[in-house]
Amino acid sequence: MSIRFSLVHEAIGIASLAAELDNPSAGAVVTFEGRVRNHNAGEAVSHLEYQAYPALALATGQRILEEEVARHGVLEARASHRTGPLAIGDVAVWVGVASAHRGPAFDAAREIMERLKYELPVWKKETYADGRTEWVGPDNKSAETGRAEDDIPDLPTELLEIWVSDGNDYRGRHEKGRLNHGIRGVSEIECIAGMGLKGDRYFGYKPDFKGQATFFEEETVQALRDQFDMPDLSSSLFRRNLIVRGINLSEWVGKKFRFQGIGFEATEECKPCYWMDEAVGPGAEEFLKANFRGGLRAKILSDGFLRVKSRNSGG
Amino acid sequence: MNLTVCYFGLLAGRRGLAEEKLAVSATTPALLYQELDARHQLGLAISDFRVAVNDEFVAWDHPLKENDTLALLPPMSGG
Repeated sequence: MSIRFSLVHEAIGIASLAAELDNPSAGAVVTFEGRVRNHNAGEAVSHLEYQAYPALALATGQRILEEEVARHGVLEARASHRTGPLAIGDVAVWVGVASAHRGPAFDAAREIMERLKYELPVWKKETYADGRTEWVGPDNKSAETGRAEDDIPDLPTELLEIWVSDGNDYRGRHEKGRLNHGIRGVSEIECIAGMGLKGDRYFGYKPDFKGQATFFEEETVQALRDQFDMPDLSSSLFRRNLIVRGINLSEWVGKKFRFQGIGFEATEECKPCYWMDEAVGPGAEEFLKANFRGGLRAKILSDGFLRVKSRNSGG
Repeated sequence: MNLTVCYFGLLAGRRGLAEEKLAVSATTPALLYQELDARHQLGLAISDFRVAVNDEFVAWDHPLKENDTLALLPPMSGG
């Protein structure tokens, strides 16, 4: 078994590297060339440049080869990465693996290549047809974070209830008395990016509206039931849309997240108003004002359906 | 303590140089980066990239020593 990783400033010597894979026990040889292409992410690329941290890149490349050779049980592995300026069509990286059988050879070559992209301390700078240059991340992910731009965390909670209403009961009703549009509990709801929850009063309310959906903690409902001695108090009373459990909503203000695959951007607390005193009882507004109990308002970033957790699924 | 700091990729662009010698009071890479970020608006979060000291990857709380060479390694993009 032998292994060798190299960094080269001139063209990669593919023929001699491939010759190093000769091994009488090898029934399979897999080689891969990564070449410079003339476009990336919709832009015309004129050339590019790789900068390396040579000492650490050599050690890291060697370690990746050693680990993957051991993991896949292959016989030979070589890889080389080019540095400096490269033209369209040049080979930027080369990987070769020899193995007794084809499966481990394909697997090891692919793993080595994936790891070189993300772990080798080299950095790619693209020059575009219009002369601009830009450091780019791996696989068009962010050069600043190494993550995809839409790689946002999941909201770690479960959805217990969904409430929508055809019209406002409280909003704009100062000194006029509340309206009674009623509110419907549904088991699923369609979310439309930039619009809101289909069927809810705030759907399409105005562009860039901060309260396209509202989240509310079930623990707050329970705390109000205890505080006001109203064990049957419905979580619909607050006219928030999405009742969730086991999460501190205040930590999500200003953040983007994914919930049941749908993107949201949390905007601000859904501040309670005096109507809460009328709906629940005197002191409810004060109670909800404390500790971010009013709920969380959010914009919807992508389309999809939200569903309440099935009471029978047990998970 | 005297250190050499190396900047790679987009961090070299933002700092405007690839390497500098500094006398610092920071005792870990995390504290040093905090100072450098404040001074030069480097803009990356340490949870998103790696640091090496004397040509080896280290944790952000690795203790720094006199004459260490510290390298700031933004997300890598090989291949």
